[in-house]
Amino acid sequence: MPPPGLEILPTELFICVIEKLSKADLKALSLVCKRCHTLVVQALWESVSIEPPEYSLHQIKAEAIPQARLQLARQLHFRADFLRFTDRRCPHEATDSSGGEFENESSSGDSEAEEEDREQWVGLPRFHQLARKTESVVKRLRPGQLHSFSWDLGTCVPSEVLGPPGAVPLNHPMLQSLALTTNPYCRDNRHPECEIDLSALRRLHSLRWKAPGAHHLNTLSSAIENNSGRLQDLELDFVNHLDFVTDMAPWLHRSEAEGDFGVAETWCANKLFGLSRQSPQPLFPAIRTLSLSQVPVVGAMAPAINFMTLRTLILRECPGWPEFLAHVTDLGLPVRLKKLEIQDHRWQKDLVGLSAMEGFLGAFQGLEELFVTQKRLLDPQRLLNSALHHRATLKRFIHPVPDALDDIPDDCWFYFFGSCDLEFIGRHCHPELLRPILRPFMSKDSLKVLHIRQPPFSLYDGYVSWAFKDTARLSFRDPDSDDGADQDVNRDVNGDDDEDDGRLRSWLRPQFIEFAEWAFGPQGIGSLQFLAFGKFAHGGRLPFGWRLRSASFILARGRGDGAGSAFRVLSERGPEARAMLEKYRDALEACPMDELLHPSMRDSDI
Amino acid sequence: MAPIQILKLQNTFKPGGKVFEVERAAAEHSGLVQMLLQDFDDSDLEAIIPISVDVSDKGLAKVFEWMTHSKDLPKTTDDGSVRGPDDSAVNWKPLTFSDWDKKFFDALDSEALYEILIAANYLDIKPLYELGCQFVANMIRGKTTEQIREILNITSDFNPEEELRIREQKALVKDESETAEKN
Repeated sequence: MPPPGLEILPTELFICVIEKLSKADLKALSLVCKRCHTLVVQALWESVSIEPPEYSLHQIKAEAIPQARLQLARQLHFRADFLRFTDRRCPHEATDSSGGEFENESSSGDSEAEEEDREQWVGLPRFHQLARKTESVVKRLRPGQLHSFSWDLGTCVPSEVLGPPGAVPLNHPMLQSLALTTNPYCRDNRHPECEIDLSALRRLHSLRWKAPGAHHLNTLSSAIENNSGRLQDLELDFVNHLDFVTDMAPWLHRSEAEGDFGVAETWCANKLFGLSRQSPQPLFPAIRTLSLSQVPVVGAMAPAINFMTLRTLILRECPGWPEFLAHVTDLGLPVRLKKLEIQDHRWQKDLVGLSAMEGFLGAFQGLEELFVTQKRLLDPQRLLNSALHHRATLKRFIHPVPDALDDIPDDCWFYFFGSCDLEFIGRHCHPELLRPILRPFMSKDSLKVLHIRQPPFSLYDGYVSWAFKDTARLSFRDPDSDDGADQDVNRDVNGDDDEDDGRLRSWLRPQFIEFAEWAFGPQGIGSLQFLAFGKFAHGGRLPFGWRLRSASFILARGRGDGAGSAFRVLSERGPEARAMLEKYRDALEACPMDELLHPSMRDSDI
Repeated sequence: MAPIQILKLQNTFKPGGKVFEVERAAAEHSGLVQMLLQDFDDSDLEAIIPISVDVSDKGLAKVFEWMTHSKDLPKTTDDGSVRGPDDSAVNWKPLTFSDWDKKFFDALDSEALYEILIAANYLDIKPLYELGCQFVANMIRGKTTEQIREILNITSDFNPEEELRIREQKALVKDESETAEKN
């Protein structure tokens, strides 16, 4: 008797399997047979993402989505890459619709329908095109259909979508999750045509807003106030704190703003966290994830947060974080954190931060992930010693020290790595310096992923890449060849591993290959599954000034066929790389080196 | 009288099904058994509990093997969706298989795996059901359509035009890299 196929599984079991799969897997599964297709379609269209090309964000193509499929959507996402165009990306900034440089670039190979489409829009400013097109997508949904909406284009949001008469707040007041990436640098961002009004949304469990303008602070503040009791996830990224505070000045009373950033910062914290209101304490009783980037924090905020429920705390470049953590410790709040990320490049001047970290880490146990970046560690061993307080549970540890030689003695690392069964390690450390301190992992089976990050400049060897030969010119994540939504999805599944493998190997330094052969080899770390190199934050975008287009890659353990290399290169779009990224994305992207919107990164610089 | 510690369960789908003796602590993984224990007193339970689901004795034996081995694990109750260690709502992330679970599932042929899933569903054994679905999901993850057909022993019932049409539709949808949605 042939073994039975999946078709004998009852529907509820089939759905249970489907729920555990990623979209790429569902695509493959839906083509297996008719029954699979029917069951998968619902799961597949549960979330619809519309991704215009980064260089031409008004080119929203959604007409082809069948109405019956669109009506299955519970989540609608507009998103784009942030690889090349960062601050000046809003269609407001390019009102010439007769076809600029990038318009021509994209026009090759367009179908007739798209030609017609172009004619229809001729003469209309790009932002109006964006507004009309996005509005028409949102209006095709049934009222109340959406649970989740995101706008991650990094542009102004048309008021037709999110404004006072906007289709999303008007038709979907039960929305549970809202995520925005806007653009504080757009010169027209205070125009009424892109006003944002979230006052109708009072059911949010999740609120994320990256790169708001200072004029959005009132909107943001009231959205937080209206939803604070339900919020489980709150993520704010002010992108460039100093710009933000400067921009905020006109919104403050003149007397407060004059020459005193401290006042502005306190005002900002009060406004966001309701410190000046008669608000209930904790203001966020259900909070699970709090992620703040470049948001000023003050000690008085501590009681606003329910640390009993908080599992993830991320503070990136937040002025005042040491006082905040110290206040949490002083109040003796019961902390149940699983993940802590502290990134601080600019403001750290003395031991205040380290003492705050020591006190905080010493006040509880059970941390599973600890990601810490500091510019200059005055006494780096103390951080490791505090981390040892969590040795029983700690699984992921990231400790990049951007531009200083790591002066922690080997035996200190040796003891730390010997004491913690880490699964993931991310470090700024030259492979040759890393090798000796990894010895403890040769005799245990915990370490699965090693992520070597390289700062733009290192005291060890300046600007030399640790992995790539000087002559390497990478192009396999060239944004030019990847223009988003209309790519054939089969590329995702059928990445050609062999081709990528050979190409990457030819670019790598012999010393790096030797390190990888050791790590995956019989004398190396038997449990290691992946060796990741380079930047993964912001889709792997490189810091300004770096000439290589792409410098991140993942190596995996070889197939163990005895011959040849102990490792293989994971094809970037292949299923294995995707699964790996899904699993470890948070850690790979933690402590990003640059901001999502980078004001110094001009189109002409690239 | 001390509460009954050994329960008798019989495979009654077809005549002549085996009678299994299962420790009470193990059998309590089953929502169905929990319900019976709540509804009836012990004297009623001395009788044999019928299990009427289209699964072979061999398949049921595997289910009871898992239940017996896992008898000390926390039982999932009525409200109980099994969630990740951090209570995350990201529902397709791999659950944790113990080393024993791994060996247990790896040793199954596909027929036994499907029988276990169906029995776990019928008996309402949530952790086993979740692990089994996760195991199937792991088999599918990262595979192409053709590989999935091979693994699951399914023959395509699409004609080429249908398949092409569906492929074209799929091309409109991009992958979700974020799955942090809460429901």
